[in-house]
Amino acid sequence: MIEVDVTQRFGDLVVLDRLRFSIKDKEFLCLLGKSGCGKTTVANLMAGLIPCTEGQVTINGVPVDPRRHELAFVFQEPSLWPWRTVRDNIKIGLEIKRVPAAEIDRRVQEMVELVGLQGFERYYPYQISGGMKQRVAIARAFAVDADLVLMDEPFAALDAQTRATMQAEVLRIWEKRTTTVVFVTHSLEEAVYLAERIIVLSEKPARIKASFTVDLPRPRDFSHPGFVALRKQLGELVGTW
Amino acid sequence: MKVEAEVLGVPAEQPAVGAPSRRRNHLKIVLYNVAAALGVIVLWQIATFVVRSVFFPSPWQVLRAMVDLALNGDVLGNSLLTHIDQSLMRLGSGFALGVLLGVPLGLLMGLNKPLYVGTRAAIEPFRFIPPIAWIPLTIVLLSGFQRYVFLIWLGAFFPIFVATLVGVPRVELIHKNVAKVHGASRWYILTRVVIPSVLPDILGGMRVGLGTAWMTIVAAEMTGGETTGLGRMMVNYAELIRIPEIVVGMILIGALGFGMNEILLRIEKRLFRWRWEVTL
Repeated sequence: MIEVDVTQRFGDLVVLDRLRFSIKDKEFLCLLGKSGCGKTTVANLMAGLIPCTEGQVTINGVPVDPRRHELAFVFQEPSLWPWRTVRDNIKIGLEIKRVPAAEIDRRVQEMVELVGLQGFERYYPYQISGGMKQRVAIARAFAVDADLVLMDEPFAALDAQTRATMQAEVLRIWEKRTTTVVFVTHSLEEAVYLAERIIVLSEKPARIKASFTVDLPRPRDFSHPGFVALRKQLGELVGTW
Repeated sequence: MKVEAEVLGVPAEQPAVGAPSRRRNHLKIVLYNVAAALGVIVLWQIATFVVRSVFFPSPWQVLRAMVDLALNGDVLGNSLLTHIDQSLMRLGSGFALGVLLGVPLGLLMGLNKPLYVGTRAAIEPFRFIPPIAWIPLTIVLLSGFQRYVFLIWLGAFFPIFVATLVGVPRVELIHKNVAKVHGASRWYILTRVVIPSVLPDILGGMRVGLGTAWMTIVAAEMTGGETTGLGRMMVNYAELIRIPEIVVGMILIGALGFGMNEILLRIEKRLFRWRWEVTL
């Protein structure tokens, strides 16, 4: 169980005003909000990358700490280390947590197969496409047995086709690894397609505007009446963006 | 599932399909360079016909002087190899010291901004004092090997230090954050993120530093008390107005500097296979 109760200010700018929510274990939660509403700030706080102005994020009652918890983050921007090959990028989290070498090899191999990058283990990031790079970043995040995987608009820079493939893949990996995932997005369809629960954030300072449990059958179909209805409802709630 | 069509580049381990053509290309480049060097010698030869002065040596005279210096030594009996050996020894020591102090200090000050900001006024002015301006002082205070090493270190240190210092803040925050999310220590971030990111800058600084080191050593040897070193040899022959031997010294300095720069370039190429941009 992860509990968030935070207020965040940068100088005079109030980004988050007593934002409170919790996430169940193994849940796939989408944080939906307009760009600039403070979604990324929430993700950064949850990963312990920036300290909260007030309040805290706890995992099973313990304040979040990257050294004590197993966290992972998939960034929107390119985040692979260009001086490392695909396999050496995937193992970063394991290497930091001092997992034994044999175990690292086994897990990296497993993740390479899971994201379909067999044969590319020894490529450098500059040699592969944008979609493949993001696959590597996902493999890196799910390679550790994370208490929480944060994904901050990971597919925003990809074309529609690749994006659709990657969404299906993330779900496949999540189902296989059963990890808690917090997925930040501004796309209504993406949220409805992926989430078990959607939290809609208001504009700055971000507060919870609404929360939806999505119990549509998987794999979800964009033309399913339930899908269309929920998407419409979200659209009315947030206006057009 | 396997993705294949998306590849943009050549796999790192696979011998490229175009390997023979690349080798042929490489040979072509070498041939062009040899031809260009020969072209310079031809122009020089033509210039000797035009100038027609006893003080303007021909390539042939210089070659004879070089062979003579190599076989019989100079007026003081020191062979050409001794001069080269001594110069390289001094240069190598001073340059190594420049790297050994410049890189860690650059990293330290790059990572601790307050430290650099607070000591700027004590460090920066030294950059603008050319190593040659230190020569009078060193003649009085230092002697022999230490004097050369000190002056070369002065020349090599600042380019390396500054390149490292400037490179550190340019390390991408997102690369550090990847490590931080997993709970990496400061040491891990320094050795696995900061240093690999700054290494291209450091190598660049080393190449600039090498140039300054050569400039400095010749000036230092010309004023030193020792009888050896390429700079010293040139001064000895200048006093005798024997131009071909002076030119031998000039050519050797150019050739040795070129060779050392080539070595650094090779190291760069090996180290930075991951870079899309090719350094020239």
